Amino acid sequence: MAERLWSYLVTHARHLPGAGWTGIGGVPLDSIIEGELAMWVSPLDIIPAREIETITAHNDVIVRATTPSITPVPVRFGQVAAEADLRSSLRDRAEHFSARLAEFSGAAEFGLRVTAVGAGAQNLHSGEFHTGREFLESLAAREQRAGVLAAAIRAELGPLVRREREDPPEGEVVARVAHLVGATDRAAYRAAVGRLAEMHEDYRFHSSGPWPPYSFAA
Amino acid sequence: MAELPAAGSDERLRLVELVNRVLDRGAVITGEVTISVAGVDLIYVGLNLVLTSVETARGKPLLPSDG
Repeated sequence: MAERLWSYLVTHARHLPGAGWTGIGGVPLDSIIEGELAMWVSPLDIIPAREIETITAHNDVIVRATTPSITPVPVRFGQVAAEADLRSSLRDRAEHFSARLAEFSGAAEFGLRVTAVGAGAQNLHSGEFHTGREFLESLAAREQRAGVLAAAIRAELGPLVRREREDPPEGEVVARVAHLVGATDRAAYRAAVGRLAEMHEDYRFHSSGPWPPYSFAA
Repeated sequence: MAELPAAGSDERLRLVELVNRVLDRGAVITGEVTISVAGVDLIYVGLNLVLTSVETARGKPLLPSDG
């Protein structure tokens, strides 16, 4: 195997790339097996540029590896190391990866991004502030609205997700949440997002997915 | 590099979501991560914050040389 390897995902030892499968740059996929785990890799002598094509190619390998019963642990773009180091990582973190594989089985990540529109877009804690008090009051008001919205999201979607990861609001985006959703809950999850959008007309709900569970892999 | 879809389009939003996930999330296997600044790929090595270009690293023990 090449001296340095690009890693894509961690999965079960019995779950290996199909014949002829390729990764970034059309380079054939290979695998490293350590105990009960396998890591899919490509021999890459040149670290590829972070362009849309290579980013997409990395994700495509993970998507292609996903089956109804196996959702691999996605590896972040740019993980390049010697085989010995990758094997060491698999051994040292075997418990973590095994736990993630069990948690991810049959599940996928969905993203929810909520932006304020119409009346809800006013006083979004942006623009000019003439006093420090104005600034702090605007910030507090935004955080309160974000908290109310987050609670509504959690109440509606919480029963349908295995795990949730919330990111802080940013600019016009008042809520950013990643959800880990099992296959049997997807239809109900999508319907619940639709209900949230209907109940909160001052906000626009952008739902994306399914994605490999990047947000829950660490 | 392929041209991105029009700003505001669903496809562009999907790509933004994809890029954010692939580059910023996922399991970190090693302490060495490739980052890019101003189009130049750099190597970030663990907590030592050693930053060097890929080309420079090839001349030092961080990466094997091409020759």
